[in-house]
Amino acid sequence: MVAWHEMPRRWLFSRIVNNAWRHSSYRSLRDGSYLPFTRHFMPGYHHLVPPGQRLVSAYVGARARPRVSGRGFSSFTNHLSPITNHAPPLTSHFSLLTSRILVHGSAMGSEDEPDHSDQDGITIGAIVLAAIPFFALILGPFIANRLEPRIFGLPFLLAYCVFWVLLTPVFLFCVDRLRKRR
Amino acid sequence: MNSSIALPIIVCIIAATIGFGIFGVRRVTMNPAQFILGGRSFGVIFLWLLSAGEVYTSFTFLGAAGWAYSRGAPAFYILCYLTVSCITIFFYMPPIWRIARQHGLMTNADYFAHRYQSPALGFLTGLVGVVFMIPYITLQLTGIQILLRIAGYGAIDSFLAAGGAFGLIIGFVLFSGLRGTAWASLIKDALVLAGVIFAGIVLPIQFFGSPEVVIDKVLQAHPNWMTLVGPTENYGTIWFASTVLLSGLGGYVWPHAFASQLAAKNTNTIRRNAMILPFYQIMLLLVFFAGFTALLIKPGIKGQDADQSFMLVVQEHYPAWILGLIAGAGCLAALVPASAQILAAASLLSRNLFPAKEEQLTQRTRLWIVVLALLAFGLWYYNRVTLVGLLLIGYSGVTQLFPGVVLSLRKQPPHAWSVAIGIIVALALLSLFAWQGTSVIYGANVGTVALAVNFLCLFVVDYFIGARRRKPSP
Repeated sequence: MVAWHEMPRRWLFSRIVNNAWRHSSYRSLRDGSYLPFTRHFMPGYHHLVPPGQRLVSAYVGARARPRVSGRGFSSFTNHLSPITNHAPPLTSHFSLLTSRILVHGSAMGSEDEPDHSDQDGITIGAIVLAAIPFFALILGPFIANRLEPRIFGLPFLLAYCVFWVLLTPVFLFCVDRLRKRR
Repeated sequence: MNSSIALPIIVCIIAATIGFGIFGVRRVTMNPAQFILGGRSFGVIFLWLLSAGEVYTSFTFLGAAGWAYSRGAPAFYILCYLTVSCITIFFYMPPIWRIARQHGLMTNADYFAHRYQSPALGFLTGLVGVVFMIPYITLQLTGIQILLRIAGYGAIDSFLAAGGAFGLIIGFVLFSGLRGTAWASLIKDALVLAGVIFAGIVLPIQFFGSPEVVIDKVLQAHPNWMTLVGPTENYGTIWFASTVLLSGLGGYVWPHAFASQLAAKNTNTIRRNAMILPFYQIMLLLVFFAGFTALLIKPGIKGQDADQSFMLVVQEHYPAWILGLIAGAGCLAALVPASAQILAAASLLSRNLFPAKEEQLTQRTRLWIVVLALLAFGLWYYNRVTLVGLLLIGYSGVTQLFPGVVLSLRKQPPHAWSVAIGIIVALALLSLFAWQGTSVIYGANVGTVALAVNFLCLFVVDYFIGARRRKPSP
């Protein structure tokens, strides 16, 4: 184990940079999903990243970056670009706070934005969770093939099927939350 | 006299829906991607409407009630399998959507050809999709002709009814494409919901006081009707589980369902749609009530005529304008999905089986739409089975594409030959069963048995192909 203050800075930055471009979440700042903060936490966030654009650099250092193909993100205030498939390279000179913004900002944008992630964030836990209603519905008749107890007047088999049909969206919602968290 | 009231109402409903569909696409340029996939721009609500429009067909409207009437508890499988489909697409459809978008793929045969780098496999899967889509289109045709015949109070010949209905479908799909179908789903869903509420709530309350009393009376008359291995021994617990599995896995391998998911604007839309789509299934509960009510009011209907059961009750006990409204809703429940199905099958023919040049693609797809409609009409004329029977034939065949779809997402997909051999062996097995007239083996649906054989063949053949690849060349 390496203590936090003993950790070389390059380890920290490499983790941040890797995470920044993994597109592990589709949530945007406009969803109010910035880390633990509540919705609309950041004043002016919609000005920070307007629809159709995304945050490509959170550079806050004193040195100016060179302009790249006319996009122009050389200054502190100009770090947006139209959504394209090819994101410009990321500087490693940024603070922890801005890098955390960047982690989420990299995947943000309007609803029309196509996502280019290579991973869906599907974990074993998510698969197990989804398997519960899957097998409950398929194996239902082996468990619930009887009339009693009647539930809301429905025979037990039919009530069992309806119950799992209604519960499936809840399970899928939880799977989606797990996936997004990842 | 009654037919002169009911039929014009149906014609007005269908004409209004077609007009609405065409109005929805009036400013859209009909390039192939727009015509077949709606420009890959459907949001959650639009995709949900389209998915529900494709899934809730005349099979749901008439077939589910017919099976509740004629077989009882086995009909509950319909409630379960659609939900299982939603679970499966949540996982495998988003990566497929990404690949399809990146490479401009429009059909499931395109996907197979690209992913396995094998045009021959694309051809095979396209052929399977088209061949097994025809019974599904025939199902919609059968549904429309039943409704028109009942609404005609005997004045309309079934041949004339089916011919006229398919003329309408062809006209609709030729002009509107997938986007128009989704627009038409708006009206269709509203009317079908009204029709199903009438059939599932108003009918039981008016005749027996409540749906609960209907179930009590059904159980008094038929004690085994609400559990499996009741009316027919062929439809026991194993059949139920195997059919839910088969249909659940194959639910979105259908060309039209596959295309509808590719029409989503991003992967989150697909997942959200999978999350909310199961809520729509609750409508099926009302359809079952309608079937059970018809069983008590008008018992003794046998065979494929059971599909007409609850509509016959409406015809006998309600005024013609109510019959016209419900039959109109039922016609839309067939018309809208039939449009999407014909469109998907025609796209397979024009892109994969008999490829046309890009600039001729839309016109060639329209030509194939007419040919497919005629083929479905021919199948309806020569082979009349129940609606659920038609659907099970289709599912048994088209689900054989499922192993190739899911295994394509592995980092190292199996070899195209192993997928093709699995599909061919499974279809040969299904043909043998069909020739022998066997639909159940050891209690299991034959389609599931064929699917298991398909997986087995795929893995065995891929193992040997992989072994040959690994062997160093001399």
